[in-house]
Amino acid sequence: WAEPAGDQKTVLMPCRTPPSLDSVRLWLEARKQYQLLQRAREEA
Amino acid sequence: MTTLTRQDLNFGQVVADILCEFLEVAIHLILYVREVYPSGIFQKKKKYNVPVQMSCHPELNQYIQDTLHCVKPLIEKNDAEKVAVVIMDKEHHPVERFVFEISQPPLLSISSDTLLSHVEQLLRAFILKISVCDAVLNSNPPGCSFTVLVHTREAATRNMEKVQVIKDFPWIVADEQEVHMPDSRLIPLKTMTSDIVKMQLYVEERAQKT
Repeated sequence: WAEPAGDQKTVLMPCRTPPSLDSVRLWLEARKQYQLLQRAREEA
Repeated sequence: MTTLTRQDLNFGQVVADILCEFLEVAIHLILYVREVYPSGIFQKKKKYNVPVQMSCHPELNQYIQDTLHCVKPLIEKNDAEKVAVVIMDKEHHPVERFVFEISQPPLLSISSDTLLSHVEQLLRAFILKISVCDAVLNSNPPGCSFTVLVHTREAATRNMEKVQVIKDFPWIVADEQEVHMPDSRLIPLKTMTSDIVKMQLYVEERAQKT
């Protein structure tokens, strides 16, 4: 059976990419630093 | 007791809501289990009455939400045949593909009283399978990324167009490189059959990952 015109199977993906591993690592490092700073402030 | 039929206006929406909520949890868990991102960005939460790992990285969470927001209209109209979470190496070649094959019964009559708890039970089994799937998969090379593929029909993409514009989250037709994975092995993980949806999950894994 031929597919009806314009109703063929297709595979779609987002044009945008998810955050890169490097940017996520940077964010995680900054978060750790911030949490350490906050803990130090609370103790002081 | 309420009885719903597919003809009910909101029936497709209910199914799409349930599936998209599940897919969100599943994507987070896959990214954690397959170590696509550092474990430090994940926090333990309880979903479907089992502990799962969910990301707390705002940009990643938004990305996953936007992706599923665009997929939802397709699921609502029963136009999403497969949703695949593809893990790719540094060269953007797929190394693993978690494929959720979805089909909805054409006509049904269900009781809403038993529906939710039964579906939750079935989805929980999927979550548990994903959380232990690393035991049957080989390690991925370092520096992997991921994308989501939706297998649909050309005519159905019109359902997505409005959402794409609203969310400023455009979709494109995937390249052969992203879709095709030569020399792969197939690992079935779980199958479910309920009144509202049939779903099976399998992983396609590239034989040589490095």
